[in-house]
Amino acid sequence: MTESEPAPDIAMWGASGSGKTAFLAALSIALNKAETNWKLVGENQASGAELIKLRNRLLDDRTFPDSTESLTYYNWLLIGPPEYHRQWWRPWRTQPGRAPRIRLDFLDPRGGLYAESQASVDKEALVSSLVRSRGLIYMFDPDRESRVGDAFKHLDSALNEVAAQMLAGNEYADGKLPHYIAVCITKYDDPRVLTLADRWGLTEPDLNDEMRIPRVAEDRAREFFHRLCRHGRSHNAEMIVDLIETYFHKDRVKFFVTSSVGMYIDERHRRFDPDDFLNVIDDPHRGLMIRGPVRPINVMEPVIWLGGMLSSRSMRSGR
Amino acid sequence: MTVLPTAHWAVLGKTPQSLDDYDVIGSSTGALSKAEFSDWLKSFSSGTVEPKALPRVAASHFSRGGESWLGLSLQTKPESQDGFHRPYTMTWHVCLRWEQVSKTPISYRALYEALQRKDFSGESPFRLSLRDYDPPRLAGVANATARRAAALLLTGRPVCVVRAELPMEQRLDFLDAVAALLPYGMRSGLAVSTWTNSASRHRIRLSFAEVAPAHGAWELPWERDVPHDLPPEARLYEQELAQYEHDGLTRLIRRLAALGRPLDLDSETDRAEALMRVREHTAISLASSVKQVLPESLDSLARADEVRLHELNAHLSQALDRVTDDDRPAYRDIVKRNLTRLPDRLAGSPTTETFFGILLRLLYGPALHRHDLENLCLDLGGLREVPRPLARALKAASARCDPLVKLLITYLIGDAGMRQQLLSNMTVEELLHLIGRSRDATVLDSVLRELGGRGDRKEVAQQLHRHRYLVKPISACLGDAGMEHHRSILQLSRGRLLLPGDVKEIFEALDETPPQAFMLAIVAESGRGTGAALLSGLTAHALRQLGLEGPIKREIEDGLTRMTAPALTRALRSPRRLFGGRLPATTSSQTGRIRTVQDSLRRHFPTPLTESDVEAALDRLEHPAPLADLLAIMAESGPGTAPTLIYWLAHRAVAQLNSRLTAESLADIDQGLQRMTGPRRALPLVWRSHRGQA
Ligand SMILES: Nc1nc2c(ncn2[C@@H]2O[C@H](COP(=O)(O)OP(=O)(O)O)[C@@H](O)[C@H]2O)c(=O)[nH]1
Ligand SMILES: [Mg+2]
Repeated sequence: MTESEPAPDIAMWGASGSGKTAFLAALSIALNKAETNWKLVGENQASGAELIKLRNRLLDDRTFPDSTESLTYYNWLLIGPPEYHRQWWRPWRTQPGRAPRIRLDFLDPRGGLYAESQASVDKEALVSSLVRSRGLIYMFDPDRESRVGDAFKHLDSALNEVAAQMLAGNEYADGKLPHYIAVCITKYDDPRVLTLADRWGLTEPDLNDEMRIPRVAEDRAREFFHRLCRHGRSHNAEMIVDLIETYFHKDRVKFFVTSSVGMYIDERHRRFDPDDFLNVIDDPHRGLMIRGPVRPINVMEPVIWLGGMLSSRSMRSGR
Repeated sequence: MTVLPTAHWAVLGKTPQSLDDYDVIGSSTGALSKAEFSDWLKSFSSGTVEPKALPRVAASHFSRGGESWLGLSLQTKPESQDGFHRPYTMTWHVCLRWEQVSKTPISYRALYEALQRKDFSGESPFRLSLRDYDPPRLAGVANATARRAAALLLTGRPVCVVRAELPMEQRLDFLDAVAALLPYGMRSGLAVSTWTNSASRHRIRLSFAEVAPAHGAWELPWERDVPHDLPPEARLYEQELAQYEHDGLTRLIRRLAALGRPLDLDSETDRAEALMRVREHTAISLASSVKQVLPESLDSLARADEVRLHELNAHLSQALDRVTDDDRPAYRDIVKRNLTRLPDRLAGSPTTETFFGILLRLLYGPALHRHDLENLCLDLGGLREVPRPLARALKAASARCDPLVKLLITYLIGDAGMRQQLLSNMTVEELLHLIGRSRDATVLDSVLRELGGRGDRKEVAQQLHRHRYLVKPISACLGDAGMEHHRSILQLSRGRLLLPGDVKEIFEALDETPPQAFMLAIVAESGRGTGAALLSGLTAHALRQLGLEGPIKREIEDGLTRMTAPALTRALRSPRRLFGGRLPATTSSQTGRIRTVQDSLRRHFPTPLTESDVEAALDRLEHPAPLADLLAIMAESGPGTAPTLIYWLAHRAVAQLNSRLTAESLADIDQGLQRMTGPRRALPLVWRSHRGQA
């Protein structure tokens, strides 16, 4: 069944509960929030329906998506604002150009799939789609890592499978996988994560942001990731960065510190309050609830980064 | 609740606070391992749930170690949360070995109800008390959407029902009904679900969903007749199913439930088998339903119950295309026993006419043949005469029949106008063919009358020549009585007395020795000087019939030449001897026999023979005279003896046909003979006395 389907451009991966589905749900909200004029639409009926369901879940129900039960495909299309070209021979007129389009084919697995030892239909489909995709979003959940500590195991077994299929031939002579990989540290809004970043001196208030939400600068994200790994329960986790950089070209790996729901900001002050930023609360009747508006952090960025890399690369390679 | 099979089970879910994914957290032991259950349940997941999908029931299949399983699972609303505070569902799964399931049909609904009564704890398998398979109930649920879904599954692609706002139980019943419209064995490879998520890559073949998946599945809107461009395999199946309703559908479902051999929806041959099986059932049930309905139709005919007859007509006409020739004898029997009279009140009714039209097709098939007409006279004999509605039905049916049957129908219904029209629209060639095929005196007469009225004599003559003057058909249907018909043909072909050239041509056209009646017809129709032509024509056929070649043939032909030469010719003759008894004949081969008779003639007569010798020799021949002996006499005959032989031959033929000849015919033969051989001889009076004796 999988062979005849188009390869997903971007596959996601990460342990169960690392926040993959929530990330996807936040994506369209993020795009709507940013004044970028980007739109996210479903490429087919099923994907479109799912997109709306995910978004409504966060915005209206104010809860997180259900635990993913089976391999799910989302075929989405990211449509940018049309670029206006000024023609040099007629500089007084601008022409609306084509709106950039990035195909986002996400593969959202149930998290345990990579860890499953024996072959299954879903697992084969998953590995084959990883092999055929060129962009990866890897979700790293610091909270889970501190509690379970199985990130290395998951990553290692998945990379092994993919590498076994791709690197056996001569196509990739340098011995590295051809993918671009966005390594996302999730749940940054979670106090346990934010506190660590703060304690390690990695946060800085973003001066462009009137709410002054503390950020981890782009160039320090890798370091944050590394330290989170070391901080984890398992000693193996220390090796995760090495693992990633052995398998992928260093210049094709980028680290992001993300949160799907963002921090809680009191509307009256419109300023980040280190004593009251908890956006996810445990409601005694309804379970885990999102407290205030959803303000995704770094959700759109990895996707647009990957989209940009893939489209420029595809122009070069003709893919 | 009769069935109590042993079921294995598993529970898929999470434990509170767990950080793991869904997995099998409990299962029965002894048949499938935890890993196998996990493999099974995960590969047949219906996709991530949404609140309105729950509770959800799905059925699926699994095979391991050569054993096939059928399973049903119920996924219930979340009651607890996992380590990420996500509410999680539990899936309760029971399964049975296919071997067990195939013995007695089990519905999904029955499995579901049995599952709900179970406590999934411990490790041992449990017994399920299952409700009986209920065809009437399933038939009640099988609406147009179910029929179409079943038909679409036979394309090999999954079917997704959308826009259905139904409670879960009703959706489950629908899935059951669709499966019930396929051979039961198909459940062995059918995965169904009351709700699927179309963004998930699931392997469910039949389900309800919000929207259809993007690739490969049929989207089927609930109870909306969206005109689909159905592929033939689906269209044919749907058409087949469309014939069934109520009890008929119940019976079909019962029959399909008995087909327990596993069938794979991925296999084209297996899918084709479904259609074959339903068609088989259709054929059987239609045949037997005709047997039930036909007597009732005949009864309502007798009671002049036109309304009921009309209803039953509709029923019978449905069966028309399905009835096979094997079924017809039984129907004919029913009609023979039950059709007695037609009430006057129905004599003019179109319903009756329709009924007879249907009856003709039921009893004899789409086109009537000649033997069908004969049977019809027997089968519908109870009516004594052809009533008007039947006549009209026959007339309508004649449109599908060949010309001969058409013509026979005009006799049967006594429609001279139709007959005339039919005949006058036919070419000479067709008319002659008709005679050739019919072998029926009435047809022969009609056609001859028609031919006689045709303006184009030359065409008629040519065609008659080509058809060998219809000698065989006429003698086949009239035998010795056919002389007058032979004469009519000869008259049609020439329109005057025959000349020697005509006789020659006619004999050349024949492919074997003509019967006596035809010979006499030629005699009666012959003009002057045709004796020689007649004799040489007959001789040529005799030679061919006996297969004579070489010297003996030449001798006979020389004899013939002498015989037809004028009597005045003198020939040298051998001395005459005394001759008593019969000409001896002992040798078996024809040539040998001729030689023996020749020898004997030469011994007893001076040769070549004179007229009186020929007469004497002919009189001494055995009865009936063998052809070889006649040829021997010819070989030894002298000049001018032809008339003697011709007279003798005519005499013999007349004697044979005597009782069939009228005085007028005899007189005509007499005159013909005179014209042929000249006026020298008169017809012996003996003939008349023979005639008198008869
Ligand atoms: N605080 C916080 N919690 C999150 C965030 N994203 C996900 N979660 C939590 O993680 C759980 C699992 O997320 P989910 O997207 O279902 O993970 P998946 O299994 O990788 O798809 C959710 O139910 C939330 O409780 C986030 O951005 N912030
Ligand atoms: Mg998920």
